[in-house]
Amino acid sequence: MIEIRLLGELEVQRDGKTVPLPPSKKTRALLAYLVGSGRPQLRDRLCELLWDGPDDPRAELRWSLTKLRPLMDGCLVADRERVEFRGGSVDVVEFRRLINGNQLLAAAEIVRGEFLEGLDLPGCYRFQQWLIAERESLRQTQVKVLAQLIDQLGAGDAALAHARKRAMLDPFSEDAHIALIRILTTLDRNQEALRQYDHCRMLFEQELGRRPSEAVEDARRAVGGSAGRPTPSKAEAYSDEPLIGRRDELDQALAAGDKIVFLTGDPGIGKSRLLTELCRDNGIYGRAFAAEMIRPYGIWIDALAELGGFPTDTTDRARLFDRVVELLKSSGRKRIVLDDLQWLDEASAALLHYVSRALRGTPMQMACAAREGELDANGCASRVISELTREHRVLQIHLEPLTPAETRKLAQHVGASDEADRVVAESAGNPFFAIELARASDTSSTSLDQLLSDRLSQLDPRARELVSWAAAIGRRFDVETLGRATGMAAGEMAAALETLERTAILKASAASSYDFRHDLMRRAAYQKLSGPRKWLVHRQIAQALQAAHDPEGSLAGDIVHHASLGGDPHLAATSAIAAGNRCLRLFAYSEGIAVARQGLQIAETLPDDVRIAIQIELLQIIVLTRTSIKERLLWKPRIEALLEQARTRNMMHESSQGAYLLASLDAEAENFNSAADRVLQSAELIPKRDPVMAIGQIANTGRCLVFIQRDVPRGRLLLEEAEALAAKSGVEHFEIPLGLGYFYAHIGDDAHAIPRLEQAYAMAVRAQDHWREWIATSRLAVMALERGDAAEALRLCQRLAPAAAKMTGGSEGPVTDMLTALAHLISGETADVDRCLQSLRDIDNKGELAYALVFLAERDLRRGDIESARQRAEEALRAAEAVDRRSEAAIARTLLTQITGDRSFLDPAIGARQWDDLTKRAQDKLTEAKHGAHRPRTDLRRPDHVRTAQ
Amino acid sequence: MAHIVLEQIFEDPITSEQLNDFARRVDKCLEAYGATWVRSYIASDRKRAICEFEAADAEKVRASYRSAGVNFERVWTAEVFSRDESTASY
Repeated sequence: MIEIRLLGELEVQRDGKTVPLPPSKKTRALLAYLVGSGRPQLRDRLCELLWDGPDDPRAELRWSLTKLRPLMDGCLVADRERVEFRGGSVDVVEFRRLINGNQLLAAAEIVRGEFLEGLDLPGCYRFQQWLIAERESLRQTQVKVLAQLIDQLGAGDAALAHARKRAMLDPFSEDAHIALIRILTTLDRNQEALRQYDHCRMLFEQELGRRPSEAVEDARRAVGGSAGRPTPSKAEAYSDEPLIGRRDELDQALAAGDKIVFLTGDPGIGKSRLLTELCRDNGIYGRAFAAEMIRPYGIWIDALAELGGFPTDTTDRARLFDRVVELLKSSGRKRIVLDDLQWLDEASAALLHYVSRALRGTPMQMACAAREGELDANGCASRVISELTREHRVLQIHLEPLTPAETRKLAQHVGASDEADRVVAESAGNPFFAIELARASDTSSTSLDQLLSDRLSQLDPRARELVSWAAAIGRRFDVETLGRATGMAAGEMAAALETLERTAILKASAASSYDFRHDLMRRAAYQKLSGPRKWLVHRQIAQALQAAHDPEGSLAGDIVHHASLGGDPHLAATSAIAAGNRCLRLFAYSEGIAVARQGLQIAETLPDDVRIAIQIELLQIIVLTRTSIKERLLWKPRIEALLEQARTRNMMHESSQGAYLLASLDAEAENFNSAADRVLQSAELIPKRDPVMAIGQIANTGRCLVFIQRDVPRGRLLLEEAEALAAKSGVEHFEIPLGLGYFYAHIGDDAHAIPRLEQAYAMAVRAQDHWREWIATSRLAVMALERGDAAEALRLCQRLAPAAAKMTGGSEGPVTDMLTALAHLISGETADVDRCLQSLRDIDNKGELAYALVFLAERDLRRGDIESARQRAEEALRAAEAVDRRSEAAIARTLLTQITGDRSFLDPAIGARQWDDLTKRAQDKLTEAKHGAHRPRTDLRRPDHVRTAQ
Repeated sequence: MAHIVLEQIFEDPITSEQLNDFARRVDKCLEAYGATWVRSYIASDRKRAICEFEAADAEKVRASYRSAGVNFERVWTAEVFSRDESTASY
C-alpha cells in the first residue's frame, strides 16, 4: 500500500515504511504535482511545468519517471501522451474527506506542516505558481478547521496547541491572537499570554504599520496581574558545548598529515563540533548553505573573508585559483576547514579540488564534513571527493553515535543530571538531539523538530521575531542587512541578538555577523514562518539587500532568491542579470547559466516589453559563458523567437542585441566546425570512452593552429572549448594553458600570456615533457626579448638550456643558443650571432632563422648599419616565405621598404583571416609602414567587460 | 619542398604495432605542419629506422615528432644524389 504525504515535506510510505525519494528536486516536484493535481497530465504540460529550456525536456521527464516508477508500485501510469498517479492514499484527499465528515480533530492532526514544505522551485515559475496557490488554499482551509476546532474544544488545554498553530498560520488575524491569549489566560499562563500579546503588537506595527485593535487590548487587559519577569529556562543557562567523546576521531584527524580529513555522519552527530575543534588551532572556517541562491565560491568567500577577502580582480580562472592558493599559503594558518559540503556550489567544488592539490606537501591541512547520504545528490561535490579518494588523498572518518556513557556526560554538562537517563534513551547517541533534550523545559516532546520548535516558541517576542528573519536570510548574515530588512531599532535588535546568542540559537561568526549554531535550528526557525509571512519577509530582505552598497554585485544571487520567493519577479529577474554578469567575471560559467535560466523563467510573468529586454540580457550571459559551443547553440531558437518579438514591437536596442547574439553564436559555430576537421571528428567519438583524451585532442589541435599561426581565432576557440570541457570534467591538460599562452602572446597580451605559459611550464615539468617545458619557456624568453628585458630573457634562457640538453637531435639547442645571444646583445654585451645563425641554417630551421634575422636586421637599422640590415632582411624574407611564416615575412617586408624606399614590398594583399594570423608585433609594423592606416582585428568581438575578464 | 630525413634508434626491437602507433600520432601533426611522409626503412634487427618526408624545412618534421611525443635521433635536409655516367661502372 502506497501512502503519499503532501502536508509537510513530501513523503512516500510503503506498508508504513518511509521510502527514500530521488535526490533531484524536480523529480520530487513532478511526483508531488502528479499526486497533488489528482488527474492525468499531458507530458507536454509537465515539460513546460518543470523543464522549460533548450535541453531535451521530454528526455528529462522520461528520466524522472524512470526514477519514480520503481517507488510507486504501479501507481504511476504513463502512456505516450499522458502521465497519471492512480490509487494509493494521499493525505490531502484524506484531509478534505475528514473535514466533510466534520472530523475536525483528525483533520487537524493529519497536517504535519506547510503543503510540500521545502519543495519551492522559484526557477520553474509555472510549478511555483501552482504550489503557492495550493499552499494558500490549504492554509485557509486549515485556519478555518482550527478556528472551528478551538470553538468546539473551549478554552482548555486541549485547544492550546491548535490555537498556537492558528496564530502562526494566520499571523495577521487578530481573532487568532485573541483566542490564544484568552486560552493562555484561562490556563493561568500569564507570562506566555503577555508574550503573545507583545508578539502580536510588534508584528502589526512592523508589517501593517498599525497597532492591534481594542479587541486585542481587551484580551491583554484580561490577563491576570501576576505576570512578573519570566524565570530563565534551561536553555538560557547555556554555556559553550563541550567536546565529549570523539577523542579517537580528533587524534586521527590531527595525525592526518597531508591527507584531507573528511568527516561524515548524520545531521547533528557532531561533525561541525569536531571541525570547530580542528579550526580552533589557527584555522579558517567556511560553510556551505542549503538555500538555493546562486553564490559562486560562496564557501570560499566566507572562509577567505578573514584573510582580506576573496580575490576578484583576476584575468582568468586559473589565475583566480592560483591567487586563492597564494593567499592560503601566505596566511600562516594551519588548517582550512569547510563544513556542509553537501551544499557546495560547482565553482567552489572546482576550487576545492584545485586547492587540495596545490596545498599538498605544504604545512596547511584541510578538513571537511558532509552529511551522510546527502552528498551523493550533489554531483560536483561528490565527484571531487571521489576523485580525491581515488588519489588516496582523503582520510574519511565516519562519526558514530556517542556511547550511553558519553551521552550521559553530555547531559550532565548541560545541567540535566536528573534527566540523563531520559536523554540517553531518547537521543540514540545523537549529541545535538541530546543537548536539546537536556535543555528542554517541556519534557513531553520526543522529536527533535518538536524540541526545536518548542524552544523557539519560548523566546521573547523580539527574539522570536528576529530569528525568523535570520532563518529566512538562509545563510550567515550581517547585522546591518538584518536591521535594514526588519526595520527594528538598533537597541531592540541588539537585545534580541544577545538573547539568541545566550540561548545557543545563534553564534557570532565574524565582525558584526551571525550564523545559526546549527542548520537544523535554522530549518526549525524557518518552518515556523507561515506562508504569508514568508512572502513578506523574503520580499523585505530582497529590498534590504538591493539597498545595500554592493558595487561588485556579490549580493545579486541572494536578491534573486529572496525576490522570487517574495513574489517580486521584476526585481528577481533584473538581479539575475547582475548575478549572471558577476558569474562571468568570476569564470563561474555553470552558475552563470543556472542563474540566467532561473531569470528567464521568472521573467515570463512580466509584461512583454520588460520581459523581452530582460530575457535578451539573460541570453547574452548564456552566450558569453565559455562553455561548449554545442550547448550554447541549443539556445538559438529561443534567441530567434525573442528577436522576432523585439522586432514586432519595434524595440530597436533589443533587436540589435538579439541579432548580435545570433551572429556571435554563428561565427563561433562556423569557426569551430571548420577547424574541427578530421582530427576533431575522431576526437568526438572519444568523449564517451575517455573525456581526458578528447580534451587533449581538441586542445592539441587548437594549440597547433595557434603555434603554426594558421587560423589563430579558430585555434583559440578550440582551446576554449577544451578548457570548458576540462573544467566540467575536472581534468587538466597542459596543452590548454600552453595554447592559450601562445594565443595571448600572439595578440600581444603579455599580462594574460605569462601566467598561462608559466602554468603550462609547471605542468610540463611535472609530466616530464621536456619539449613542452622548452616551448613554453622559449615563448616567454621571446616575449622578454621583445620587451627589451634582457635580464628576464637571460634568466629564461638558463631555464631553456637543461631542457634542451635532455632532447637529442632537435633544434632546441641551437635555438636556445640564439635566444641567449640575442639577450646578450640587447644587454650591451657581445655575442657570436653569426655562429648561431649558421647553426640554424645547418639544422634547417627556417622559421627561427627568419625570426633571428628580423630581430638582428631591426637592430642593424637602428645602429645605421644599412647594408647588414638589408642582407639580413632579404634572407629573413626568403626563409620566412619558404616556410610560410607570415609574421616574420611581413616584418622583413616593412624593413626592406624602410631600407630601399621601395613600397612594392608592401603590396601583397592581406585578407582578414590572414591578418588575424599575424602577430600583434607584425600587425603594428605593417600598420606603421602603411602610414598608420588602421586595420581592425577581426577576432571574436565581445563586449568590453568580457574581453577584459579573459 | 625539401627532402627531409629522420633517423630513429630503438633500444629494443620495435614491433609493427608500435610503428603504426607512432604513425597514427605523428600523421595528424605532419598534416598540420604541411609535411608529407614519403617512405620509411626499418633495419632487419628492428633497432633503427630512417623515414623520408617532404616538407618546407626540417623543423616541420621535428616539430611534428616533438608535438606527438615520438623520439628521434636526428633530422636533416637532404638532396637526392644521382651517380653520373662516368662513375656508373663502379
